[in-house]
Amino acid sequence: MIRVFRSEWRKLRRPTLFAGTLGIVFGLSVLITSLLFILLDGEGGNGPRGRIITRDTLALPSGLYLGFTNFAGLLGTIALSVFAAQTALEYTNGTLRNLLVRQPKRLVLLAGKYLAMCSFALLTVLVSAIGSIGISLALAGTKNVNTDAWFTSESFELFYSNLGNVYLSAIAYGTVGMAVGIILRSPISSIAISLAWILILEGILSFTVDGLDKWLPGQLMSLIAESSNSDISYTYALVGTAIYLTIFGGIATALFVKRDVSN
Amino acid sequence: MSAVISADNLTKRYGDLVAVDHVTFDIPAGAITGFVGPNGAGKTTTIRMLLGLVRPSAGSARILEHPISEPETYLPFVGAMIEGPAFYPALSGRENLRVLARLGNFPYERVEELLELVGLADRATSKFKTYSLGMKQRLGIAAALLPQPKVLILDEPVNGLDPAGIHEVRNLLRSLADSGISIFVSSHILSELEVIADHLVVVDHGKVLFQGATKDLLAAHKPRLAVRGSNASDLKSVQELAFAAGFPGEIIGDQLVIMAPESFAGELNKAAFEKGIVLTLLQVTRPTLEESFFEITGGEK
Repeated sequence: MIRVFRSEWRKLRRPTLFAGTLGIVFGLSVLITSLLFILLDGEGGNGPRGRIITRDTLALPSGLYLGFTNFAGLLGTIALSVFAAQTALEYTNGTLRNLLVRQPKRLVLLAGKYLAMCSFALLTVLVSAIGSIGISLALAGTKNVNTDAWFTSESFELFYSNLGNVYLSAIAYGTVGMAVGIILRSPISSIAISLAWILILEGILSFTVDGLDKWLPGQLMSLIAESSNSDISYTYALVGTAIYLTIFGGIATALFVKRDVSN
Repeated sequence: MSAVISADNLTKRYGDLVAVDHVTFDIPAGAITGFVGPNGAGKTTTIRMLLGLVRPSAGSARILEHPISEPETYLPFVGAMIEGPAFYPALSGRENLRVLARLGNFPYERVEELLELVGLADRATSKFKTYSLGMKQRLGIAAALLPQPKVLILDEPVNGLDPAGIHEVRNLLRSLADSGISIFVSSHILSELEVIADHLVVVDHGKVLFQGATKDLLAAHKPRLAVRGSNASDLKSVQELAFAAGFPGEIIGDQLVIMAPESFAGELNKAAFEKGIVLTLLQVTRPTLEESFFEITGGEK
């Protein structure tokens, strides 16, 4: 398993993927968090979907992490894309057969790859946290946001829980990406179909059908990062996501282990 | 000679299509065995079953005495290149080999040795996608050699190579076989297998048509005499002489080709001389592997 993990990292660390992904994550985290502060007094809202996040809200112990948690959904889609591409490319490149000749235990190969990508996702979450929290600290003074509560023990505790929740959410998205990558065996199809479902179809469904969002996997996964919303509890989102991942993961694992490698 | 690979009624069906049909063969140790067949004959599917990538529908096979249902028991001693070289386009040749070396727990020094061996040391840092087809093939062979294999399974290893590259691979395979590695190599370039293969397994439509020593396959078909006279019109007379002796012939261009053993050459020369015919060419030719192959598969050149 460790050999698979380390082997996978030789692929993940290639500059275009490693520096490219982390650079995008850092840049977007900084940008989205900056908008929270720059548009603070604007009439169009400064939060996601035009929500207004006030100076008082930002001054709360959780205010330091609002940009970071707001970015969680995008972080999840990035994780989904990386997991799906890294998995499906083994089929399209034909490299899976090489890997299986050197590691014929398919479950071990799959688990090692998964763990390597989870560790990559952890890096993206950490980079996002650094970018978002850093720019929050830098901009708070310029926008007269009171930061006293940011340096309390309550705020430090929130850091860990927010980091954990955003990471869990990213891993959930990534697991879906990996499962779809195995099922479809094409990176473009896997990413396009997954993102179309999560970003577009689920958005339309949850907007048009009242109460449906508590049954949609994408909605539940993003709620883990936000901890909860007014309708759905954190535990509900966690359990719902776990059920979906067990189903997707189970199907994908069975296919990976049993299916002939013909390409 | 003991068998390093034994297939026993190995079969693969895809719905109604039988890709590999009760294939049975033995691959001897320490030799180069050619796996010959036209496209779609079932060669690659057979190789994939041997490597645990495709599950057989029926039958069994053993590699190094281990059943193919337990690939983890024999694959550490097997090197393989299946259906052309497949690598990560954005990684360098060296990095691609290191991915596999890390996975198989082989030292990185082995990667450097192999890059040197296949002549890619000076392009080791170039991305795989910038390699020529010949370089890709050589990297594939290097990857197959990573585990210092006892058995090497290569699917069309000279595809895309120029004559010099083909010559290099041929020499490499011979030296590997001489060092004790058993090599199972598929190719549609029959002239290549004729040069390097000690044994042959010939398949068509998923079935084994011949297996045995290459020389046995070639010897199974009658040699021919190629005859040319000082006067083209003499060929008809020589053809009649040969026919009278029980050996039919056919005039092809300015030559008469007679299906006859080497021993008939002297007799024919004497008979022609007695009829006042001067032969300017009297040459014994043996059928090529390609001709033998088409004969047993019933195909046409």
